[in-house]
Amino acid sequence: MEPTIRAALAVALALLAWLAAPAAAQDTPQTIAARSKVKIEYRAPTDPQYRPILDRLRQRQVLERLQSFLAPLRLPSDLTVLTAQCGGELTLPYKRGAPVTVCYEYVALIEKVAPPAQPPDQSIKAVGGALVNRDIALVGPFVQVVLRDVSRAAIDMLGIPVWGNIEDAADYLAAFLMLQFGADVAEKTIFGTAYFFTQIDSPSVDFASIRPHVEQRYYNLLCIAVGSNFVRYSMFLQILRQETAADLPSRRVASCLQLNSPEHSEYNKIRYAFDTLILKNYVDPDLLKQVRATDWLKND
Amino acid sequence: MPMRQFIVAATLALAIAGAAASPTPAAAQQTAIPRNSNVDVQYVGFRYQELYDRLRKRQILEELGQFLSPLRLQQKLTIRTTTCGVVNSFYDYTTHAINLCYELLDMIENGAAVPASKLPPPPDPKTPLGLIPGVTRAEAIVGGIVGVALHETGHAVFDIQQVPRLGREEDAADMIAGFIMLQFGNDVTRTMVKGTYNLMRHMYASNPSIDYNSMADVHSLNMQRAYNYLCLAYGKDAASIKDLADAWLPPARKPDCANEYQQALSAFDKTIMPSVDQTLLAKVRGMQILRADDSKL
Repeated sequence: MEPTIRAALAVALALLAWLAAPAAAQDTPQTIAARSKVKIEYRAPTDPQYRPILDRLRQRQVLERLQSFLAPLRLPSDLTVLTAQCGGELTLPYKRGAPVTVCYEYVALIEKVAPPAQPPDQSIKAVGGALVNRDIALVGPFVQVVLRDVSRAAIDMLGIPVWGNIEDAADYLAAFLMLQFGADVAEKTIFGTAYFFTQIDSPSVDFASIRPHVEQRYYNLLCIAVGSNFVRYSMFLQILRQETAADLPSRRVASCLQLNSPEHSEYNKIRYAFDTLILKNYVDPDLLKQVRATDWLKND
Repeated sequence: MPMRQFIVAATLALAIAGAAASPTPAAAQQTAIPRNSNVDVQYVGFRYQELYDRLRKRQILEELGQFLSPLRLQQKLTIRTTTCGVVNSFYDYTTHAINLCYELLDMIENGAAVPASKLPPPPDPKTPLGLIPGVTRAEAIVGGIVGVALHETGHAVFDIQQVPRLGREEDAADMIAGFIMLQFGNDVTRTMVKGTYNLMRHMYASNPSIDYNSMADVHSLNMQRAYNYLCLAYGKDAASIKDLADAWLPPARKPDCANEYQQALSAFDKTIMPSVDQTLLAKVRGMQILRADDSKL
């Protein structure tokens, strides 16, 4: 199906779903946001170089949309998500009770490594077999880092049991969520995040770090995506061509798909964990229905 | 956390440890513990006859079945020692079977538990193979084998009990294995941690190169795994493991280890304990773990 047709169809379906939802008549993005436990704040940077970033984020109402998007999550208390300058750090480590902070430094890096915008013909880059333009390269990693950090905070606030590295768990949840809101959102966020992970400096491996290496995070992301839809994300697989480092190696693909018992694919394990631990207990189903019917990355 | 919460884990580790190392018959108290009726055990012979005989005589798998007795398994689990053709051990989702491969057990005995001076030169001269200073051969064998058995048992329990895992599967299995190792007192903890750390480090020394295949692997890198096990132990009781952590664990990792242990404790409490028979658990607590002969390997 042509992308434009698919997009139009998605919008039509979204509108239909929105109209069909029982509470739709009363709820607007603003009223949904008002019910959210997520509170937002744009903090002014002290370094003027980050001022345009703040202005762009504010103009696009990035945090407002995030607030609505996360409204179905029943957190036990408010969680503040803010944008701020982080003293030169790209990200801040998770700290219990602290707000989730998206650093202007991180956004600046996203913008720096994104393909340049050259209207009317934007520059196009590739990651694996996926094509990425500037919009995708900007949206994907931003959404990923927000979902990742909110997931990390939610795990703690909700007392969700986690077997394995908790940083990986947050990454997995972010990837899973990125795949739940339609093909357009999924492709933009997965492609953009994958591109970003391949573009940032890859330091030597610190074996003792609690944080997984960016290359490991890259392959984990691809694994979840491929496991969710083998055909849609087949551009990351070595099929009828030489394998490259951007592809999901065939040895890992076996685990990502688990063809002999698909319920054990890495994607389905995360889906099961999400359904069992989070969806069943901490998500408002009516709000979720409305959120799922919204085109979150429209005009991005 | 109540002591009883530790029992299943503790019993398993102790049983395996003793079984792996000692030819001594199990204590009378131990024989009174029934094997989990949902656990079948098999010793499959083909190659590695000496290992086969030793493991069978020692009834290592039967004791593992005893160790699992408090757990109300939702399906049959088969645990076997077998020839796999490669150095590996694995849990098979389709047959619900743990396969402990003789090749891996042999590699532990004849590689990881051997002094570097008696092994071939390592790929990287700065990273010697085999025993590292401070680890005895017995610790390397017992701790290494128990670590592997607990890791695969972790996969099986996760699968059969439908335990949700948000983290990576292999790291999750390492975490539950590492958690179980720590529930049997200081002597057992040190043996398990030293043996597992030594094994992971030996595996790293055997293949220290890092390429995109290793970065994409379902397992974390071997040295990442080594530090994860050590950190978990340090997080439970920093004082009792201080000498090992000071020698092997980079200082930057230490501050978060207590949180990592608490994470494992909470996950065990919430996802495993509801399926545990407390009466059997009390019996399993009495199982003997390390025995006198364990130090004579």
